[in-house]
Parts: sequence; structure tokens; C-alpha cells
Amino acid sequence: MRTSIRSRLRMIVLLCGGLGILVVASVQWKTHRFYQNLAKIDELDEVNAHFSEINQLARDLLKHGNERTRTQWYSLMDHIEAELAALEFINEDAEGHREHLVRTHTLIREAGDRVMSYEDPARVPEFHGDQLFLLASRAGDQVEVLFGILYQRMQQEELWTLIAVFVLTAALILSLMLSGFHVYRYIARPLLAIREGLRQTGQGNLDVKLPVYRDDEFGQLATDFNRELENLKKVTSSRDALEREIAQRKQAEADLERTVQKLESSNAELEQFAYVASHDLQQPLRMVSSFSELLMERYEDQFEGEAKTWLTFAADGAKRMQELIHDLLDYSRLNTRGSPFGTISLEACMARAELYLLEEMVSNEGRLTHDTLPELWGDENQITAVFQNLFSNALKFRSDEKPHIHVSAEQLGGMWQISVADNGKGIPEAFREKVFSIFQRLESGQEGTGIGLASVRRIVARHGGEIWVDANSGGGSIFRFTLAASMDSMNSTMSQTVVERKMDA
Amino acid sequence: MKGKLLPFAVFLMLALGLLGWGCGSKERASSATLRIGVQSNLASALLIQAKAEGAFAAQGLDVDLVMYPSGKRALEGLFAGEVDLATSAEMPLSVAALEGKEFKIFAEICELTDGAWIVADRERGIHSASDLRGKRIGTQKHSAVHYFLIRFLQAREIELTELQLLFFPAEELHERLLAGDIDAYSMRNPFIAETLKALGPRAVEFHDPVIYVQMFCLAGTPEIRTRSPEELVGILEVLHRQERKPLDLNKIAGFLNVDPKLLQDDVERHQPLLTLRQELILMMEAELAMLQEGAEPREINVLNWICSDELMQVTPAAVKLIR
Repeated sequence: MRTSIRSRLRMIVLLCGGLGILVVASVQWKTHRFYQNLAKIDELDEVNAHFSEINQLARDLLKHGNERTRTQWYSLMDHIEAELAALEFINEDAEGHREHLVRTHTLIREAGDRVMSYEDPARVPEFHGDQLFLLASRAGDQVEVLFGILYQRMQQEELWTLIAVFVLTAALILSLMLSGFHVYRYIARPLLAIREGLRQTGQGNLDVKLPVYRDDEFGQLATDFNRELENLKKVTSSRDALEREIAQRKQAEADLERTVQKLESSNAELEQFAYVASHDLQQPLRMVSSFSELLMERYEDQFEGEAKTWLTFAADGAKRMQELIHDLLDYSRLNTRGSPFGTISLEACMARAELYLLEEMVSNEGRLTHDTLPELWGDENQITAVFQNLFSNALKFRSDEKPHIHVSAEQLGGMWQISVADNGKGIPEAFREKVFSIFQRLESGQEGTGIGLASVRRIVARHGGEIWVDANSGGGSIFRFTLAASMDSMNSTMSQTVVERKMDA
Repeated sequence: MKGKLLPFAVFLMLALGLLGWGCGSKERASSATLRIGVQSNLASALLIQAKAEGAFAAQGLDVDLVMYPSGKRALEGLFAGEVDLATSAEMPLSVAALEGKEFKIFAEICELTDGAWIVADRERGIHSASDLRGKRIGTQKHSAVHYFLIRFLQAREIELTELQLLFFPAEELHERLLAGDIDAYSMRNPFIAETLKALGPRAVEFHDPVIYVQMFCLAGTPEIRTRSPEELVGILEVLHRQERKPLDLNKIAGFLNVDPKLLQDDVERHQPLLTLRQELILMMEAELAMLQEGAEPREINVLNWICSDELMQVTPAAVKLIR
């Protein structure tokens, strides 16, 4: 049976309180009875004193027998009678003896009357006096018996009250001891166990298990504590794992940061190298080209057969080399020589690109269409270059059909996804990723340097976006790239991209 | 829990045991049987009630009560060695003292008021006490009723010479009255009751409760003091405790095998007590003087027949005679 701590405490308080009240009540009763008996003894003492006066008055009566002694006698008799009537005893023994005393008093009164019946006291027979004294003496004895009964009763009551107080006090002490034991067993011990458990838990020991002594409040507390400790252990394990993961990630991030820094440094050096190389290469290449052209102009007649062809090759090679260097120089400048970002009109960029390619558009009978295009955050020149490259490719790698380019845009949260669809030859799936690598061309001898789409991807990346190519269902390709709608979106995307890159790293 | 209660229980039992030992420490081991001669009336009420309640046994005493029809017969039994102690009114004791019997009075145990009175036959012309003059009055010689008669006449200033005093055994007085040998007699119950029943309205009684209080005493031969001193004290201790109790007439009647109603009529006249007072000496001396009337007076020291040592051991306050 489950007994709660509250019930136990209530029982303890009731038991000890009840016993305490009984002890106090017993002492109170004892004191009350003591004073009650004492008062009774005082009353009896007064009666005894009056009975003692009978002897003296009887002698007076026998000697004088005058009016004064008679008056005193009757007064004394009445007085004693009233006192005897007023005496009340609560026990039968004393009451029985009081009745004896009343009878003796009646006999004394009769004996006194008999004495007073003689006109001449000298004629009163001696035995009348003897009987009067005998009865008075008996009354004294009877009063003493009553005293004895009262004293005996007081002693008995004292004894029993002492026993009662002793037993009740002993019971109270025992109850207090039991209560102490109870409090220790049912309250202090579980509390100490809980305190010890909390202390150990505070020191980091989560393997503590509190003892569940019984199904009371402390038992429930211990059970709850153990359960919560188990939960804490699980949370702590997860936290530790998370901390380890965070530490690993931080380490990876630091490593990535270092790698990025190295990479950026390396890129910068590479860009610097590309720039310097491109720039420095242009001079000797220009000399090769110039002198090749000069040779062709002045000494064309002197070259025959293959020599002339070879010279032409050299001149074309130099020209081609110049184009490569030019494109490479532009590519290397994309990150360092870009314009500041701002809100730009995508339609304006598209229009400028179309204008730059007007000749090719016309010669190829190309057609450019578009949906409503948004304004967004970016570098207008570079976005124009993106459209120019994509439109140029669409025209270069056209199919037999007349080129048709369609530009559309779709908002995806804080980003815009721009699609440039053409009806050209299309790009085999195996090359859809490679086309964005530098110097990658789908066909050898094909027109171009193989830097255009690499530049496009670099520009898009600089704007925090991505670019990929899908096959157009109607033939051709769809180049899709994302651009930030606003500066905030771009910053957010850039941060996320950096993190993802680091995570990937 | 039980283990923890055990020491307390043992402690409590020891404490109560000590208390019980303290209360019962006065008890004595049972020894030889003591026989006490008593009368089957309330004069021996303390002894009879103690016996009926088993108070003697509780005191460790083996006491037998031997019934006698009167105190005089009980004293005869004492002197004949039939009993070790006897209860008797003071008058037979005075007679025994006069006869030179060896005995000791250890305590007065009851006082009887109106224990003797006179019954007469109206047809003999007796209607009031003064009518006793010139009549033949019977009584038992040298007994309490004899002493009462003397005092009764004195109180009414009737001289002994004015009437004829005749002595008969107690059991003969009733028949003598009916037979016309006497006109009245002084006696006690149950003899007077018999006469009242026989005479009916013709009977006339004369009471005077204040002229003679009979003092019933517990007496024994002097040897009892040396033979059973502790038992003697023990008996007095029992009587001392009984003195403080009310009379239980049902118990006494049950022991005597009589109707409690018979005792009820007597209860107001009896005063059980335990004492030794100067008045006993005076009473006995007065009786001795009466007994020696007409003879050469002998000086008898009543103190020689009274022994207060044992009662002093039990309750000194009860001893009120001057020694």
C-alpha cells in the first residue's frame, strides 16, 4: 500500500500531538484532583476542630448547664450538622463513613439533650458524661478514618497519575523516537541520497542512479531524477558528438580557409601571370605577325610553292595566337577589372548584346525573342558579355534552321533563373559540363578560342549564381543561370556558397 | 520495529513490577492457621468482610472464623483453647478480668449503639419506663444487657430496690416472660424479636441509645503475642484497611448465610472501627465497679488487660489511651 510522505508526516504530528495533549491533560487532571482533595481535607479539618470543641463544651455543660452553655451547645451542634451536610465525597468509601459520622453526631446531640434534661447538673448520672465523651471520641476517630481515606485516595490517584504520566511520556518519547526514525528513513535518507546524486551529477558523473526506496513522493522524485538523468546522458552524448562535429567542421573550415587563401593567392598569381604573360607575349607575337605580313607584302613573289603556304600559316598562327592571348587577357581580368555592382536591367543588357551581334544576327537571319525580364543586382557589362557569348554561340552553332534565341526569367526566392534557349545543334550530354571549362571546344578546327563559356561561368560565379546547360526539347540547348535579385540576396547566396564550398572541401 | 519496542516493553514491565513490589511489600508468607471466634452479626463486620473478600489471604494470612452465639461464649472458647482470638463486648471482658482470666485486648473493632433494650408485656401494666417500678425484670447476669438495664433505670431515677431483678440464661428470658415469671426483660436480638413476634401488639419496647455504647474488642490470650506476633499485626493491618471501606452487607450476609435485609436493620447501630481509647478503660472500670457491688471491692488495673503495641505498629493514630 502506498503511503505518501504527507500522510506519514500527518500521522506523526497527530500521534505526537495527541500523546502530548494526553500528557498535559494528565498532569492538569492530577493537579486539579490534588487541589480538590486538599480542599476536601481543609473542610474535614474544620469539622474535626469543631468535634474537638465538643469535649470542652460537654464538660462545661456537665458542670454548669446554664443558658450560655446550652446556647453554645446548640450552636455547635447546628454548625457541625451544617458542615457534615455540606461535605461531599466522590467515592463510596468516604460517603459511607460520612454517614457514620452523621449518626454519631445525632447520638451526641441526643446525649447532650439528655444531660440538659436535668435541671440540676449535679444530678446527671456519671455515665451520661462518659457516653458523651465516648461518642465525641468516636467522632474524632471517624474523622480520622475519613482523613485516612482521603489521603489513601490521594496516594492512589498520585500513583496512578504518575503511572499514566510515565506511560504517556514514555509513549511520547517512543513516538518521537519512532518519528525521528521515520523522518530519517522516509525523508532524510532519500534526501541525502538525492543530495549525493546531485553532487555527483554536478561533478559530471551522469552514471549516478538514485535508489528508489518506496513508491512515495521521494520515490517518484528519484524515479524522475533517474529518468531525467538518462535523458541528460543522451543529450550530452549528442552534444558531445555535435561538439566533435563542430570541432571537425571548424578544423575543416580553417583548412578550407587556408586552402581558399592559397587558392586565391595562387589564382591571383595565375591571373597576374596570365596577364603578364599575355601582355608580354603580345609584343613578340605582334613582331612575328608584322614581320610575316611584311614578308608577304614585299617578298610575296620570291616565295614559291610551299614556302608561301607556310608563311601564310605562320601569319594565321600568329593572328590566332593574338586572339587567344586577347581572350585570355579578358578572362584573367574578369574578377579584377569588373565594374561595381548595381541594379541593372536585364532587358537592357540583352538589347546591348544583340546590338553588338547585329551583323551576325542579320547574316544568320537570326531572331531573338524574350519574355519580360527583371531588374536585378549585378555588373551590367559582364551580364551583357554573358548574353553576348550565349547569343554568339547560338549563332555559331546553328542548325539548318534559322537561329531563334529566346530569353526568359523565373524568380526562385531571392534569385532569378534566366534561361537562354536556342534551336541550334545542341550539346551532347557528355559535354554539357565540359563546355564551361577553359579551352574546351566540341569540335576541332571549330571557330573560337574555347574561353567564352569559361568566362560566362566565371561571371555568373562572380554574381553568386550558377550556370548549366540542358537540352532543349525542341532541339538545341537551354543555358540556364541564376542571378541575385538584390544585393542582400547576392550576399546571402555568396555566403552560403562559400560555406557549401568549404563543406564540400 | 519490534526489535526497537522490546527494550521499552522490558523497561516498562520492570518499572511496573517495581511498583507492584512496592505496593505488595507488606504481604507475609502464609503460616499456621489462626482461629478467631466471632459472632454472626455486624459487631464482627470488619473480620467477616475481610474474610469474605479474601483480604487475609491477600495479606498472606491463614485465618479461620469460628462462629459463637455471643461474645461471652466466644471468650469461653478462647480460654478453652478453641480459638486463638475472640471478639467480645467489653462487659464479658470485664467479667473475665474480674475472674482473673489471662487475656489481652488488642483493639476495639466495633461500637454498638442501642444494642440492648427492654421488652415488656402491656398486660402486666407496663406502658412507660416508670411503670417498671414494682415489676419483675429479668436479665442475663453480668452481661451487657445487665449493664444496660442498670443504666436505663439510673437514667430514669428508678432505684433497684423499687423493683425485683431476676437473672436467667439468655435463652430462657423469652419463655419466662411468656410464662409470667417476669414482667419484662432486658436483652438483645434475636431473643427480643422472638418475644415481639409472640406478643404482637402486647409487646412494648424501651430503647435508650445514648446511655450505653457497647465496645466490641478483639482479644486473645497473652501467648498469641509470642506465638504469632506477625500474624497478629497482619490481622490488625487487614482490619485497618477494612475500616476505610464501606460495609458490603451482601458479602457479609453471604458469608453468614443470612438474608441481607436482616443485617440492614442493624447497620445503623453498628459502627465498625479500629481503635484503642481511654473510654474503653473508663467503661470497663465502671462495669467492674458494678460487678463488685455488694462485695468487697478489689482494685483491678484495666491497663493490664490492654495491649496497644501491635495496633501502634499498624496505626499509631488509632491508639488514644494514655499509657
